[in-house]
Amino acid sequence: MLEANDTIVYDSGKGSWADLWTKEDYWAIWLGFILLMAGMLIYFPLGDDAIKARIKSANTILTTESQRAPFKTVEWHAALDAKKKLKATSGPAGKMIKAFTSAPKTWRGNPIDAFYLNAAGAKALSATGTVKYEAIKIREARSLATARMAQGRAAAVGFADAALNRKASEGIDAWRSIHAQAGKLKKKANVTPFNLLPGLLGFMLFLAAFFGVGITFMGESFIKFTKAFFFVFAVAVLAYLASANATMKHYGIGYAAWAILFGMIISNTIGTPKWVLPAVQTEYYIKTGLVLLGAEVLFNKVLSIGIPGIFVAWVVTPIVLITTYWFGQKVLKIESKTMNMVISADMSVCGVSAAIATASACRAKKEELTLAVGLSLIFTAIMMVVMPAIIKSVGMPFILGGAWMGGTIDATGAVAAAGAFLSEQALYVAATIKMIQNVLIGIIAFGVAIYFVAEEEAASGRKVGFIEIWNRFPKFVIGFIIASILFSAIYTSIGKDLAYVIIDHGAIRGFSKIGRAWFFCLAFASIGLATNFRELKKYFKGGKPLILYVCGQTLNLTLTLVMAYIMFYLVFPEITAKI
Amino acid sequence: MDPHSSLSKRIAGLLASIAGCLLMIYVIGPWLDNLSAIKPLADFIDMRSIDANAYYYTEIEEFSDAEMNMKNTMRYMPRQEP
Repeated sequence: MLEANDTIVYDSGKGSWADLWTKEDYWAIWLGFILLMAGMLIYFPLGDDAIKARIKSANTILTTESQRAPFKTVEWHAALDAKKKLKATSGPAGKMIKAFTSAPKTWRGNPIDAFYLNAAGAKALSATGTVKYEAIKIREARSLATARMAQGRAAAVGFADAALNRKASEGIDAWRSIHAQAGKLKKKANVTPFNLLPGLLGFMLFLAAFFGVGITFMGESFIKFTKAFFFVFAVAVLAYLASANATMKHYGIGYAAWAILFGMIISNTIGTPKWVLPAVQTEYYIKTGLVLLGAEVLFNKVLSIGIPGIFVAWVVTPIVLITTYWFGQKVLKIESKTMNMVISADMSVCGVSAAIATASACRAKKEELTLAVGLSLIFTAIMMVVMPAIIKSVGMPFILGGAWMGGTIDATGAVAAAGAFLSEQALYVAATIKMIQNVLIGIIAFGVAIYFVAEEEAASGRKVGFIEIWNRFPKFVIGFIIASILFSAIYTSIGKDLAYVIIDHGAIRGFSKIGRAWFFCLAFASIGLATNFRELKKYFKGGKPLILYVCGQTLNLTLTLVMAYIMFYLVFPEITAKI
Repeated sequence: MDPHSSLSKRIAGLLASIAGCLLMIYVIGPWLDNLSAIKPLADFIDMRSIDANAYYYTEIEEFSDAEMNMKNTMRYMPRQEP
């Protein structure tokens, strides 16, 4: 536990059957799987015959249209839109779960707006939103009419005229861009009143009991934990509140950074009260969150963008990770291997989520994770502003720019913002490459865990055998891997379309993701509450972490750009043309 | 801050830190938003309601849309030009 040592994950080299009910690793697995099973029970029955019939109908249109024209027609997009609307979370169960677990909503001037909106306020917001929505609806109708007309002209000559086909395709792309904006503005025209406080209160009590059961089995006091948990939960809510500020969203500053900051402010000024320490359980929250994250690591996603995406995300990323780690050890001679690994993974894979997974897998210190999160935060904010500007100023093709940003900007949300800022096509490529990188977390966490356990054993002079590796292996990683394999297998067996409805927009987005995000937030709040600012300074000695990050990111930017150009423009131009 | 310093000093440290956070949210952030290099992106994020501070692909609606588009483009790729 955190009080006993300062690592993210700690395991002794011995194992016993009692570990199954007395160790955090196993409790993380049990609790994680209870939530995953609950998610499956709630959402899987919603994938009924009616849904399957609607998927089949949309797929029939997609097949017909893909054979009819050499570009994605208006009907092709309409059929896809129909499929996108099929979400298990749209049902009553999904809406109820969302209402009881919702984090604070986006706010500007008054933080209370994040928790409460009365009927009059909702009406006023809807009225403002309606004006903008009505205006864009007219633009959308016009652009759709223009697209249909251009498509009609191309169809009239049997899609045999390349110039007419290109014009139709451009018209349809313009309509899709306005359509995407209209979809967002439609939501702003239909604002409903809300009060998050009762739900948050109930959720806090649920989580206190949920984690409290394991705490009791691990020999700690349930009552003391519960009392202390309310404090840690309050810090987590404050972190979510700050991250929901509209201005802070522009810079990609998320709950992890705020939770660490708020926790550190408390611990380094008035001091973390002693009665709060029983709930400062970084490892417990982070391991449970990681088991849930396993369900989101779906290997089927890898093929979403075909071979070009695999090369950009799955060839460049491991090369950059291994080279940066080697550079940190051999050239910079960074003392802490774990810090080197966490920063290298954070920079080369996908920021905070990769940092959490590798920090846990290699038993990094909490200060090292904090440092990696801080570096990622600063460079994400810079890169999401600078990269689209560079791409536009040098006239780089947006699909190439999207691939470049998707492979290099750390934070996933920032990739979406920067990609969409260029174009819809750039967003598709950027987001898909980042998603494939996200999935890579599973393999990297497993590999890092094995590497560090084996190296630790070798350094101790003992024989490195299976039993030694097993005894020291962080067991929750097994839960993480099993969750990933289980969900990937179900995803494949039921088909991608039905999986979109009941896994992507059911058991994951409607259940496990919610718990995982809160658990990570609680973990970061705990890290902050247990971190001494002066301890943190020594890890930054000589500015080596910054040099490591900058050198690694420079390599990442170069290799990703070269690989994206080769794959999207030299080897697979036909795929690029159809995006 | 030294844990052995006086309570008033520690409370002053807490208040100063809170003031720093408020300064970031209410003054520095909005000032940066109005810089010509940043404003177009900031306005775009607002208009599209993008969660630019999300950490994983499942937390962002745009990723779901992008994946559906790419997946279906690969599966139902329009035929080649004649």
